[in-house]
Amino acid sequence: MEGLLKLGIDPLSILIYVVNTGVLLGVLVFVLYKPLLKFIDERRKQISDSVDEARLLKEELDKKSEEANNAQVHFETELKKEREALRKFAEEKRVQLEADMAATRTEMMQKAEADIEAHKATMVKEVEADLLNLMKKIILEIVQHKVPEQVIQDSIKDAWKQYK
Amino acid sequence: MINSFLTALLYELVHFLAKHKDFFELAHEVREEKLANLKVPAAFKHYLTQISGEHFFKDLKIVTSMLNGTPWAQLPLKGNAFFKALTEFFTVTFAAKVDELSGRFYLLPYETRVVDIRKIIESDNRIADALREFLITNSYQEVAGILTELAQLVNGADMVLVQAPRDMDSELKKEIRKVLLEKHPHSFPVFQVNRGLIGGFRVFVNGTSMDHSWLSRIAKLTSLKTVS
Repeated sequence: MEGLLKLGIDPLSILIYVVNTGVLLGVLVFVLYKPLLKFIDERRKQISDSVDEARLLKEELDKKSEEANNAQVHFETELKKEREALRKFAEEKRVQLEADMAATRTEMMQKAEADIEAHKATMVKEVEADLLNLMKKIILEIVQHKVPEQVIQDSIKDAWKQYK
Repeated sequence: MINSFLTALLYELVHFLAKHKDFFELAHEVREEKLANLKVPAAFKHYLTQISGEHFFKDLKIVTSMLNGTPWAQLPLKGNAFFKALTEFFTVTFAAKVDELSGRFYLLPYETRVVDIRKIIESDNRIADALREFLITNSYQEVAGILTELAQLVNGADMVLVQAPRDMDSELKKEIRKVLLEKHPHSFPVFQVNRGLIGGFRVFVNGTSMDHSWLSRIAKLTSLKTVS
């Protein structure tokens, strides 16, 4: 003990320093370390909850994404079917329209041919009528003015013989 | 009209009957003898030989109604013996006289017609005068219209119209009338000039034609269809 004193080391002071350090450590434990630990635990829990939530969200997102993918695939399938049906419908319509057009064209051509024939027949008839009228006029002109009176009288007698 | 003729005829008949008061009591043969000197158409002499006194006076009443202006259609003319004799006279004897007249006769001056008609109806009595007046004062169409109507009302005769391009000679007219009268008894065939016929002739009977004209032949010829 005397040796420590000769070295200038006071054991009481050391004791005091130790007590002081213990008190300080006790205060620090109660005032700083425990709240800090509590904060850290809470923070850890919060982070853990956030991670869980994020995981759940990710799972939800994955599920939604899968559903969306499935819906897209279904939509694309339906769209494809619709497009195919539309294409078939358009094709059928095109064929039908072509057939209708062909029928209409045939009908129009037949009608036009009939009209032309009728017009031709009318023209022929008109020309015939004109010719016959002309013939009649010429014949009447000749027989009305050029036939001798005696011939007319004889014609009456001849007609009478036929009538009897 | 034929009123003058009927008046003259009645005058002659009444005068005759006044002289022969027992006429209707006589036998037919005796009546014929009595009628020999009466100057009336033969159709009426025949009528008088057949008719009874009662019927005669009934007929006389109808004739008087006619003379007083009663429309013919209202008189019981159909089948009446007096009017049958009248239409027989007009459609046979008188028609033959009418046929002797040319178509131009009705266009001649009055004086000329008087002279011409004298050559055809020569007798000098009331009936002949009335007939001459009838032909002089009426056109052919009027004469034909009256006689056709009378023949229809009395005998239901057909309406016969003969059209020719020129006026026919009287002999041909007589022949045609004779044949047509056989085919259509009691009718009064009317002759008409239609220059448009050109030749031949045509006959209308109650509107139906039998066409033997050149016009119809030309029409047939010019209406033939060409072979297409």
